Amino acid sequence: MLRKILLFLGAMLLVSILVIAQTTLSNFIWLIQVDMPVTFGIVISRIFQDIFTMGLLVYPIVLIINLLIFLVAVLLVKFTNFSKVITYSFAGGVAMLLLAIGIPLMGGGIYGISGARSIVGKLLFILFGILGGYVYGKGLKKD
Amino acid sequence: MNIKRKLFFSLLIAITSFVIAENDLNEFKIEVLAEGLDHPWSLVHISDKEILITEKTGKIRILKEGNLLKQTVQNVPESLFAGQGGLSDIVLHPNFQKNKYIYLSFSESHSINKRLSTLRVIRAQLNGYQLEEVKEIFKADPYREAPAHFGARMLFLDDKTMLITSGDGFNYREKAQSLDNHFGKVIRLNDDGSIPLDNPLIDKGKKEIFSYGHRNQQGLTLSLDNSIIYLVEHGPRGGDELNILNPGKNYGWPAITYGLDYSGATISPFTEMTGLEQPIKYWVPSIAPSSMTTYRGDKFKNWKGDLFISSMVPGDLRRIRISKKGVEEEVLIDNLGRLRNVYNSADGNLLVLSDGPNAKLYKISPK
Repeated sequence: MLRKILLFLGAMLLVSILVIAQTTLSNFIWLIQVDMPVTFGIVISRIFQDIFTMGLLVYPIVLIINLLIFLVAVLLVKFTNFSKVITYSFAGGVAMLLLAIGIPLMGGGIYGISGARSIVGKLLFILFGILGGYVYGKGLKKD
Repeated sequence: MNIKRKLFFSLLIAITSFVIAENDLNEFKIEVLAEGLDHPWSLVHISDKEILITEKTGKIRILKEGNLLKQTVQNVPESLFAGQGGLSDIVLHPNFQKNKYIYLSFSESHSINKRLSTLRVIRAQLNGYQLEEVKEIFKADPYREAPAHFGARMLFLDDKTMLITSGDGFNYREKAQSLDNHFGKVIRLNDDGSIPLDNPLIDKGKKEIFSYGHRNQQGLTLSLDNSIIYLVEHGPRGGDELNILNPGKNYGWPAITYGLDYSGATISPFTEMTGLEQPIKYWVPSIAPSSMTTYRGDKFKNWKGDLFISSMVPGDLRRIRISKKGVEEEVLIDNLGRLRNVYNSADGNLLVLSDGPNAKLYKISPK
């Protein structure tokens, strides 16, 4: 059980870090487009900084949404023959879809995590969710 | 002897400064003029005894001889009361006593797609307590998805042109740097909504644009001699700014900022850059400045020409003095909650509106 919890927390940490890196990077891509003097060193240092400043908000949100969706996935895995890896990957994708689209819709259209504003950003968020679910499902398979 | 004299004068200056500071804190009283206001946003004197107060919910309340009337101004255009949107600013034409023109800014839904909204400004004639000859002066382009960051503050300049602040729409901050839209801009128009031919960026983008690179500007005032335009704007998490507004200038948002995104993300690591204007003061953490006025009355001699800023986080009234020494700041009142507006009363006092569903109008006058 402890291994499962740690695996879930680890997978969600991975998703959160990717979400944060994507958000920070998307801001820097725009800054480069408007000729601001962005350097590789600045980008890397700011991503690491943002992992801590943004992580306080993003990690709990990612954790809660995925937990809710994964609980449904647990039931599906238990009572059907669905593959763990595919089911949790799908669940991760759905969770991040909710984060990227559902939460802003409920919040009057405001994107609190700015990386999700563009279509590419939303797709990447879903991809990160799928990856998180894949890592979790793959880890479970080793049990 | 020299040292003694220096010491004496230093002591004298210190004592005098202390006395002035003490006077500033103790020389005013706060009275409630009206209560039960529903999300008030702005106010204006239409005569010595009548004040109109806009409520974001769409009403214009009337305070007459100290009484808040049940009657409201009629024929007010429908506004969108959602998020940060609603009926917002109200200003009088400089020749109001003759032409009875008033101007209203508000957020409005798209006629078909109700998820979209924009900032709109109208001019109307006030006949009694009824609006007539309502004419659209400005509509921000394009529409936005989130009803947030409308700006919506208005100010008439000496040349009878008017400035309108148009916020960045929250989700569209990068557009504040391009001149093909109204996000994050200050707009300058003639009093009938036409575009002044001497607008500074008339050949470079939208002809109405006066300045750009703003976020959510909700305070706009002229200096005592009307020679300087001051603008205060909400920053993100940190980075609220007090700027001196000049035509055609780029104020940098979001390429430079002193704040972080609400999520904690880096919006920009840069705080200054050649060609981008610097604020004369910024606040980290944010104070959420909701309005600003220059004190023009005679009741408080010490305050004449000072800027007053109402703020919503944690909620206070600030006095700002700009002099050769720099920008000095004093928090005058911090026990009234979130403050929405500060205004020069016709009788030389200050009026302050609190924020929210059961808000009050306060008068600040000498003791």
